[in-house]
Amino acid sequence: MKAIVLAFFLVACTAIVVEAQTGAQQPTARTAPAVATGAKSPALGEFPPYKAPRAADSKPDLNGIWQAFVTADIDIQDHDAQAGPRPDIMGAYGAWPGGQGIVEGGEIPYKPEALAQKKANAEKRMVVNITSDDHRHDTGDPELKCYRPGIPRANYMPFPFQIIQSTDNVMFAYEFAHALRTIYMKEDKETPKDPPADSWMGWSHGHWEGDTLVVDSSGFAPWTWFDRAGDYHSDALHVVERYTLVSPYHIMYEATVEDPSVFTRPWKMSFPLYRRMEKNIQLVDFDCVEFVEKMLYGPYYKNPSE
Amino acid sequence: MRVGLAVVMLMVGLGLVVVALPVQAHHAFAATFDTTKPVVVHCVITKVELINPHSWFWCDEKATDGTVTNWGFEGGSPNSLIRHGVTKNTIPAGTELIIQGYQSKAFEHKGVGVNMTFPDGRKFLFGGSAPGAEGEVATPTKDEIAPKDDATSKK
Amino acid sequence: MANRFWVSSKVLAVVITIAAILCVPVFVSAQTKSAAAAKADKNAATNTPKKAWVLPHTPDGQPDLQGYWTSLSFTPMERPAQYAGREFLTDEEVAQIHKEGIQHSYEFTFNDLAETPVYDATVYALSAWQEGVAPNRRTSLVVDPPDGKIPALTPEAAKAREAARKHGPNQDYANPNAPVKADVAEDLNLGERCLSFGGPPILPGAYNSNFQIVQGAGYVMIEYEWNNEIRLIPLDGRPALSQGIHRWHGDSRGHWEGNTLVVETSNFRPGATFQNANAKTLKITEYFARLDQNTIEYKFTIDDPSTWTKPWSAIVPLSHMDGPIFEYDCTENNNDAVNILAGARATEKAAAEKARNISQKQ
Repeated sequence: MKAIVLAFFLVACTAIVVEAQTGAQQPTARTAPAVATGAKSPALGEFPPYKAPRAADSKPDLNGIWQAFVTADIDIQDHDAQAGPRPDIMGAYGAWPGGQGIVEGGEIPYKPEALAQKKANAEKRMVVNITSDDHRHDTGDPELKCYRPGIPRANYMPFPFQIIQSTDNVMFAYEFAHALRTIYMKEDKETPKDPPADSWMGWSHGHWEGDTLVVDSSGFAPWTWFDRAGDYHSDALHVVERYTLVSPYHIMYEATVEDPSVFTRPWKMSFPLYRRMEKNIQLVDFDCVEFVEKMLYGPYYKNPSE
Repeated sequence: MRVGLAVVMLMVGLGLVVVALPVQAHHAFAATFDTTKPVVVHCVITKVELINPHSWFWCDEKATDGTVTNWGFEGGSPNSLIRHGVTKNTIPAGTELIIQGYQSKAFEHKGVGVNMTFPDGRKFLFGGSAPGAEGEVATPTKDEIAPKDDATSKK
Repeated sequence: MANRFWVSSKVLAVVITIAAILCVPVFVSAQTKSAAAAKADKNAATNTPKKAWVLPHTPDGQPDLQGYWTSLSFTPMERPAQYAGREFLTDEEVAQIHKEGIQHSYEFTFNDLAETPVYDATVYALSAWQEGVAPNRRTSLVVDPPDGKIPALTPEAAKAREAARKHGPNQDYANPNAPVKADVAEDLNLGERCLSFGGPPILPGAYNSNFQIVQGAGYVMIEYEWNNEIRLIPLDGRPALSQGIHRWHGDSRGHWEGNTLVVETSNFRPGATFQNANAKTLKITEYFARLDQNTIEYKFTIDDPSTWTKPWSAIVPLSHMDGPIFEYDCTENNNDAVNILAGARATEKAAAEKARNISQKQ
């Protein structure tokens, strides 16, 4: 009896060892040989379970300087590299990189007439006609004019931003055009749920669901775009974002976009945010207004042709 | 947009005036509105925009022959309005106003609203406020500054 | 014409108001307070609290400066001659002057320097009393030198300032009827271009003189109401930026000295400095100390040997106020830039037309 059990055991062990060796040989040279600690290169899109350290408000600590590394500001859907404006003088300086989109499912669910509007936007993205009224917003990508980028676009522009987290307010300070969001962590008389007026960066309230900061924003002016490809929204825009620390160096970001005037259903975009780890990293100024004045106001200059 | 502060700070810097002086950017106003073209418009609000640093009051004026002209009157920065509980919905569409102001130089039916009242004579928004004897704020409540006619009030 | 006469009277009223405010500064004591003064301003410091006030701290143990604050004040920058030698006023003077200041500000209308009333600030709750101006016991904002006057300029700074006033673009505020030079955007001032509304230091302004302080791990953030301009002040002792980077509000580093936040700022951007001081040599030190629930004592020291013959300091009282500070879309709504430039073109065109007509008649 003991011999049978022992034999069975030995066979089982052998089988396990053989399978382990076989399994180890299956992947290509990408996978490093297993070492005693069990460490291996990270699988893309996955993070091991992580419990973030707490900030002073006893919530996961989002303080820091963060930046996205997608090319979504150019186009939130899949896009090829392309020559930018004036390739005759800009060359590679002005060319735009290609990249994979950040829209879950790949395509933005436009209503048919809204898709036509998006295309019209794209065609006229560099048409700038500044008047002293709201018609200045009729054409042209607001980014080109150094206008506030809106949400979620500000989070995936190629510029860092800083989160300053306090109990009652979480501030997002963007390097681009010193755009700013105040995420009110409580609803009260001063900061009620409903937006008192419209704004470019929206009116936002936040709360924690477990270790995820959920930000609910509405009260958007209709003039921001999602990218340079003309993707746009109306003043009915409603965005719900989720910020989750998944490692000391990454926030997984997800935004659900809803706008019944423009889209047939809500849709999502998601990408990681990376912590800027340079030792003395700080935001510097990108107050691009000074770079666009000639473009905006040139027609009113004394000698516009110059 | 009013850039009084920039002017004020410059003037402080030059030692010209005390900081509390309310100074309008001269050239901005003079460039925008024509003080030789005063207007008085009796109209009905179609839209209120509080797009800081402007406020805009869009208002339909009905002529005796029935033609309707939509006017746009610029008002002050809405920051403090918002702090006092005013929202873009406080003055609902349909509110009747009498607006006295100056016409815009560039646009025929735009202007700045210098004096704005309801037909019953009450002043618009916080225009009817007065400081108390000790300087305490005696401002009307949000309900008081809205029009009296409940039929035109949106919820 | 009657209208013009009325305008002139209004001018006079405004000028008298200005003179009155200049000569009659307003204060309240942080220490002692009459019942009238206490009632006059709910934001002023109370000196006889019902129970001892305890300085609040943030959850990570730093003095809590957070909230919405206004620097609005009737107090003049420099000490008026009638108060020479006096740093403070009596409680009775404080209450009286505050009351008068309130009454004057009630008449506050926005107008242009051509003295045409634009709109009544009271309608928009922008009068000083509606915005919660607090009385101040001091005779002037400047506290050092002890005479309450800003020290003399260096000779080269005085020359530079005079030249700027004469030839600076669009800057002849002393003469409202001066021709406007507005050929290009650079002829407008930094505020008209929505580039910067200044700071540091924090000063009283005509209205919307407000800001928000938020404290997060190792940082103090100051958000100004005007154009929502931001200062992010690290407290971790990191080195300052080199002269290779220039920021619109300078480069700031902060640390705590007891319960006082000390912020040192240097390395300013040429053309965007306080009172046109030298961007390379200017150093501004700010001190924030919370005196009670509703008051921060804010002091700043200006040190620029290229501009002033000695350093000088001022104290600007900061009073707590209700929020929020709403988004301020300056460049997105910049009608002024368009109107000023277009207006100058229209004026030139009209002048050219007139000249043509005259020459045609000859």
